[in-house]
Amino acid sequence: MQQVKIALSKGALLEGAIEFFSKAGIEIENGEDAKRKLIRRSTIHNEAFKDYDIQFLMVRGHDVPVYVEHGAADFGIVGLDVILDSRAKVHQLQDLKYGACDLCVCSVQGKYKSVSELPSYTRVATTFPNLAKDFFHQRALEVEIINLYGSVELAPLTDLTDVIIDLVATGKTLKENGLEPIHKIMHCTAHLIANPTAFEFHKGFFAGLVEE
Amino acid sequence: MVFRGLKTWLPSDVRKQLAIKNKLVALYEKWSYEPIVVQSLVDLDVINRANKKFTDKTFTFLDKDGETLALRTEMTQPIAKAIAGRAQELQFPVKLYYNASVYRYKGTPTDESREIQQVGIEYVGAKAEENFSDYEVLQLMIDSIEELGVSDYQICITDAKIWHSLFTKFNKPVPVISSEASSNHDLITKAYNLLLKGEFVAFEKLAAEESFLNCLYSREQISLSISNEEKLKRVETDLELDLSHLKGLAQLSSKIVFAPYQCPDLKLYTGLHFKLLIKGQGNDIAMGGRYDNLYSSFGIDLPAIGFAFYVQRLISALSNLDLLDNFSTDKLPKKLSPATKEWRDVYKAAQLEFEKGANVLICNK
Repeated sequence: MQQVKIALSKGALLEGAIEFFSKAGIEIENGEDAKRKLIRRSTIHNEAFKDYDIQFLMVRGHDVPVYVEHGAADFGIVGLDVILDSRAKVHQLQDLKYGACDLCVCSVQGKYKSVSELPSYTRVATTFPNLAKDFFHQRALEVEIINLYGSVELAPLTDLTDVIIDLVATGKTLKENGLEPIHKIMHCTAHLIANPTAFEFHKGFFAGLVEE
Repeated sequence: MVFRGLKTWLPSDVRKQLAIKNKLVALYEKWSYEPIVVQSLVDLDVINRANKKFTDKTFTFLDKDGETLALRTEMTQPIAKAIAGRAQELQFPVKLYYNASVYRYKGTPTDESREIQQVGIEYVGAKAEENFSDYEVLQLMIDSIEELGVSDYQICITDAKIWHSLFTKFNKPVPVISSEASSNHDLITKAYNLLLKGEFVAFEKLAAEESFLNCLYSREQISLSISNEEKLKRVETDLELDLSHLKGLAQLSSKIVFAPYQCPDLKLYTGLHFKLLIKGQGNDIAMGGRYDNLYSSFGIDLPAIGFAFYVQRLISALSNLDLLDNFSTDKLPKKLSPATKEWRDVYKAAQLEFEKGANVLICNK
């Protein structure tokens, strides 16, 4: 029996991940009791995976690449935004094409119409500091990046920053807080990633997932 | 202040570490490799001239006379400089082994290593097919890991020629890319991530005007479970390359896997490139390859190949595999509680114990 550990993001991408594995014949325990567990077991309904003991590690989105890069998890599912921001040395195996959203520069409604209108030394709040740095560096704009861990929308409302860089799915939260996107940086979806070493030993497992 | 990425080793751990290193060194001695020690501090130019990939990870110091010094980031460059400078006195090929620390700082959230212990070899002055040098070095990698009792491992091999040929085919300059590149933005990483899925480029089918990246995306799917032989044949056909040397090397052991998607540092490696992976370990345990152009940056044309084990990762792997205790050499000392105040008598008693093979600890009654 081969053990495979898969790190899943506990947030909005979890339901899609459960569905993805369910289609592949791997049922992740998902009852009320299971929801508090940090490691969830699975039931296998697909002959291709009968020799695997598959465990799912429930972690914060930003921690998924960390677990995978260190090899504490063999595979992981997380948004492309988090993968790129983490700079983790992981293999991006497949775009799972769910959890779609855009990483955008957003400001208070009507304050700025585009990135070119931003003032010198713009202050930017984000949970994606590396992507934010890359974005402004490519435009030769000098900015101050303020790394937050949540409720980024609050930053321009309290004058902590001029703009934010955050994920926008429907735009509803932004609108309710008087904010609007002024520039789309990239489109993001959930991706399947792998630890490079683990991938070498579990290619058969990945091939089984892809075939499904 | 305690810096992350540095570790103090206490006696019982040091003993295990030494036992592991000694096993490797004994193996290299059998194959006539000789020890070399080079300085920890090098001229920054030594690192930059050979390969700039470590420049942003290098610890540098301003010397009293204004020179910029750097802590060595790997052993290959300082050894190359030393050998190139004394080439007139040496008879080639020269076979060397080392056991030393290198210093790098990546500073990524997941890798904060600063001092990295390495045991490795350098085989200088023989081309790939001379003296079976590639075979010998790859075989030594296999023998090293098996000598330590590890059986669940894999060695991924490729040839830098594959990537050089790929870029030549598309008339693209070979990008400066480090094997430790972490950014997923760059072109080569995208290519790498695509190729690793087993999707090889079907070159003959591509329209010339297609962009390099699009070309890599539009390919036929190839099963991941195909044999080394079949994979090598496909790459040979697609890139019009002769990979017969690599084919021979791939047959050295069933643990060798041909990994065409493995992208070496193309500014350094010119031929065979290989990595040792152990199941359950997040990172490669050892890495090596052929770098026939390195010595020319130090003014002499000498082919070379080598590899290095990352000792901390190796120890972590042996520990996870419950093999580390095999290297325990702890020996309880014989306690001597002298009844006399004369050191000469105590010393004599100790000598008697030494003759019996015991270690001695002098203590009060």
